[in-house]
Amino acid sequence: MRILIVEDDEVLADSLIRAMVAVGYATDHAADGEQALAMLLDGCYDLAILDLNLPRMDGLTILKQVRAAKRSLPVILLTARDTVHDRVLGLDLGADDYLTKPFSLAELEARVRALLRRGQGGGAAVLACGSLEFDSVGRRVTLAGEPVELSARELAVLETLLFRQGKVVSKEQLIESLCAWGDEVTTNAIEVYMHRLRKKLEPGGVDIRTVRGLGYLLDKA
Amino acid sequence: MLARRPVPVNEEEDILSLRHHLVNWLFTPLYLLLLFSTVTGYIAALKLSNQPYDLVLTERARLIASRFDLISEDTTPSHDDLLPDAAGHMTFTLFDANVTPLLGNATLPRPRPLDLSAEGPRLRSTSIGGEKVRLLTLRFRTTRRTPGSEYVLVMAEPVKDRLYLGRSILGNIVIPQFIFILIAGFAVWIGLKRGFEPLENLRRAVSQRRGDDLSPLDEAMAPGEVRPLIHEVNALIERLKAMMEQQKRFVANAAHQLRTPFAGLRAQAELARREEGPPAIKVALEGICEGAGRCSRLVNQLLTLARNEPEARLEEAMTELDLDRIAQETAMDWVPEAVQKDIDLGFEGAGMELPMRGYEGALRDLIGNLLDNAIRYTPPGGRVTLRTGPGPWLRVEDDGPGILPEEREKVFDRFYRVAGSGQPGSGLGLAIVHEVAQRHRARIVVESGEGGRGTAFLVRFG
Repeated sequence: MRILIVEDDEVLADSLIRAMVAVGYATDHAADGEQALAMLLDGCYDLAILDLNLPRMDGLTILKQVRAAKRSLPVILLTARDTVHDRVLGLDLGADDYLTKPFSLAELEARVRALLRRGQGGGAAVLACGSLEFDSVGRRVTLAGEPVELSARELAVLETLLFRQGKVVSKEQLIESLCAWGDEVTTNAIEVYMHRLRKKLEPGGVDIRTVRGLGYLLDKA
Repeated sequence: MLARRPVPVNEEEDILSLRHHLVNWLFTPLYLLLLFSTVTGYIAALKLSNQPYDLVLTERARLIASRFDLISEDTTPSHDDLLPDAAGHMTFTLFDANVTPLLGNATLPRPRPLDLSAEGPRLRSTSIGGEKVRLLTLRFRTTRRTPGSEYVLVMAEPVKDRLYLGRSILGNIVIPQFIFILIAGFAVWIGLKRGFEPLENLRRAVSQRRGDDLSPLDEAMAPGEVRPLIHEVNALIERLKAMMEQQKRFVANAAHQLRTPFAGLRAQAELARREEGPPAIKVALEGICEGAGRCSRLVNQLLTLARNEPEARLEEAMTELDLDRIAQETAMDWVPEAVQKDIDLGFEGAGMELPMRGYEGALRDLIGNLLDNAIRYTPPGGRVTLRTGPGPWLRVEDDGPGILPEEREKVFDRFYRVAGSGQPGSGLGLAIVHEVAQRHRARIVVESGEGGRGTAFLVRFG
């Protein structure tokens, strides 16, 4: 995996490079816009982290030119501006994600991971939450190494929750994910699946929280 | 920040003093004039009323003199012969050439030499025995009785009647004059009131202004004399506006510029924290991470606030939106935060679309900051609930320690912190809520939560 970091602030660039290297990505750095554009058009990068406010050429121009040159690598924009307008403009020009400074390093790492995964066509083979592991290829679930028996619908619900770990999944989203199965699912049915899943996951210290009026959230207890 | 009441203007003293000036300068001369014309009128009236009476008195005197002349020398005339038709109040004494009284119906004082010095009748006012009289002195010579002898006739008439006439003339002058002045005064008063009305309206328009309203005053409202002043005030407002905009731009730019170094600081601290190292350094790095996080938050809040201030409103356009959906989505964003603090965050939506016109980004800021505030000030294990309803309205309620009624207004002030909360908030969250609510002309009510516990923020739109 090769990543280009385009950031003119030395301290921030340094920390980004070190973080990416630590995760195991080959990392290059460009400190001005023209250099960055040249590197992006020449080199073969899997992802770019692009600051918007750069000397000599601003980030949005770089993005426009890169997309014009039919380079489809994922691009995460970093910006000090955070109005809805800026965000929409950035995404319209072909950015894949958008982070407002200052951001947490963990957040950036998570987004880089997600984009690289997507770039490889498909999610990671194994999704995990605490002692719970889900092999998305083999469609098998283990809890502390022990296999767990789940019905196909329970599995679909759990998969949806795992994909959005730490975030709320609404009942509507869960119903949608089950609709692929071709039949009507009621909100009551969702509650039944949740009840069953909770029972099966409880021994492994994994909890499905009910968030009043909003949905469910998968969390390590 | 809640709109502050304008400092009350002491209308009577400050605003109306110009009117007082005018009234003083118009009425004082008017009344002095009245006084002057009364006095001169009185004098003129007295003088005028003297003339006919003096004429009659003189005629009488001449009559007495000619009658006296007709009576033969050996008869001593009675005073009734001389002054027959008892013009009762007139008295006379006839003196001979040696100024010895000869006859008369009263004893009048001897004439003064001054009165005798001239030919013809002399008239003057004096008083005899305490009564004011008009005194006539007439020297005459007889032609028939004793040809050539000289006599002096002194006649007196009380001035009572004359005064009565004088006063009635005076009354006829002064009373209409007084009425004229009253009418003039009333007209002046009405005129001033009318004339000052535009100024009064202008004053009201200025005093009712919001502190952040920097639009120019309407020059058409002002009377011609004040227009140059209004023009100058408007020019001043323009300059102020330009200065404030510059200031705001500076703050916004500064905040933007701060973001990159903060991002660097935060990322570096996070990296360092991951390294193995002595526990003391770990603790220090935790502190640095937390501080950097708080600085980031403060910068973000400052920018959000700046974005929602009245002057910055051009950036985002109002759109038709669904408050229920926005509330639900924003609540979802805050669930991880709530879970981390072990707070039961819930959403009780209206169960239908709540259409309204608004600024979506700003509304998300409003809801987000209300939720952030509630989560922050509710102890672990507590409940925070976001509700929406038709109107539309939204309400964020918690079962935390609550806010004292006397502090409820102040929580919207920038950097105001509820005493003793010990929470590391930015102090700007509720100020943002207030600005966004103002932007939407929404009203905020701060009250106690269910059962008098905790706090509830109710925002009513429309």
